[in-house]
Amino acid sequence: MRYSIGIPWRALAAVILTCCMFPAQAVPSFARQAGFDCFTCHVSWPELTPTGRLFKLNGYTLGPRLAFPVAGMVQLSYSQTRGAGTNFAQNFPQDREAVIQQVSLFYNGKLSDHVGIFSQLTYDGVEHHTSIDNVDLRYANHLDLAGHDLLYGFTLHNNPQVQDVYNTVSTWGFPFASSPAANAPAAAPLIESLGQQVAGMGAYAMWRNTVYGEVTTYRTSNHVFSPLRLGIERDTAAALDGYNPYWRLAVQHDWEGGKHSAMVGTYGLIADVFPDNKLLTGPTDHFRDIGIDAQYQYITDRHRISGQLNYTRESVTWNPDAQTSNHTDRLHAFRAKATYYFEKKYGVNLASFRIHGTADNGLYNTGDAVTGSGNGSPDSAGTILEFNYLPRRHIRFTLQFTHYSKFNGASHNYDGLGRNASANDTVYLLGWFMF
Amino acid sequence: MNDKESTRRRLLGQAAALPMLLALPLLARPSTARAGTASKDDFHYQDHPNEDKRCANCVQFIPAGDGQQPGACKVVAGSISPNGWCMAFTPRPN
Repeated sequence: MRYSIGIPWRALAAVILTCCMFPAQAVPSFARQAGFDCFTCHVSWPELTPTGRLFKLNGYTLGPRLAFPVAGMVQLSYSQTRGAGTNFAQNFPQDREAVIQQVSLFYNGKLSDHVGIFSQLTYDGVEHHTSIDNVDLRYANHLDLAGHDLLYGFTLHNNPQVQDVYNTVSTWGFPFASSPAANAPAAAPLIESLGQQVAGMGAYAMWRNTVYGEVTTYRTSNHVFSPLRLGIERDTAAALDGYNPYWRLAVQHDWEGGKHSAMVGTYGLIADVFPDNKLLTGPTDHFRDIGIDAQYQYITDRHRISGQLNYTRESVTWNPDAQTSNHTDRLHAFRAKATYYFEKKYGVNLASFRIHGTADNGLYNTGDAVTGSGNGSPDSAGTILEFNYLPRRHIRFTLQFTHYSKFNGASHNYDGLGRNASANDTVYLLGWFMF
Repeated sequence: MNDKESTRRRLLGQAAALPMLLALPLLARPSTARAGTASKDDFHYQDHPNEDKRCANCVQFIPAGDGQQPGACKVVAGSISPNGWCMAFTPRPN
């Protein structure tokens, strides 16, 4: 059945447009609370400006508390993949169909003078499933340290790096949205793959708005932490052994009143993961992800330019009973992205990505057409070109082109069944509405 | 207790957490506008305007009660000049 048949598109469009008639910005409840314009906190949402980063580091507490800090989001999309044969259609039946990609309810705002929350409940229109999305509950305060300000805080969240304030990391990095009905590379570092599956508890500090440090531990989101994966069954979420350390260090500098800002940073996660989500006992797979990143932003009312770089190296030692071909594997993930916006209305993003690692037949050569790898290699590479138009500040239309030069190990016949990497090239059209 | 009951109880327990969280701010009335807590240095506050942008024209500015300088700001801590500026400047709607 074609998904588009049952959707009352006219009624849906009317509701969305009616909601969008009200003044609203990026996450609109934050904007209503702080009295900010959306582009005060965002280069173009969701990418944060220096003000947006400070709003987050201050625990979402700037401005008066709202009685009803609720906002909404709807994403409607259509995508078309170049090579769409029978095997592809079996895996991605909603290719070439309009879909309600996501409908989200946000509960975001200041809870008390020093406590605030970002939280999101999302209906996934492709999987037809509602569950918790990103959550970040914070406490923040200031100390005077030798005559200089130390901003410090604590965070409870459910996705590694959702608490981060830079748009270099995967959680808040580019692409900010992508097709839910298109193929994607099989390999990704663990740090990018634990969203809504774990509980993170961390402490952070920013000294003189220059040096940022954070330590966090991640654990299985069970028992008292189970609300952090509301709507997601325990045995479908990752199972971590004990408390697993994450660290973050960044040095940043803003100048000319925040017109320019730059950052270089590093982060790492060391995690022991049970191979079977259902069994929280026995031998584990040991992951060590180390990353470096950098960001630059130039922000004026008329022109906005930004660039991000991110590199993550992952080393894995598999448990003795693992069905992998190797005892240890490596993975390298690299992303680069550049952005230009004119008058906060017309924008273009250009990105490059590359995943490279140890070939492991037991891990990647699943024998599956379209999604598998014939040579057991995780290597993928490609580019993304994206055009954005914001007719109003809280409405975005995106046209995105993704091209793969390599996919799951090869440029040609990557799945061993004749499919080329470029067959996964995708055109993606998105309507993104915040209210 | 069978697995199905256990799962149902777990889900009900999880589902109960959400409305409890949602109710938190409703326990108190929304706070009125008052001076902020953020650092002046962090927001690049200066005592003079940035081109034609000045605190007196910003939605965050709280004028002094007696109409005398200085005032305060809903975002940045400390006394604020009506002729000042910081990077959180948001113009008042016309």
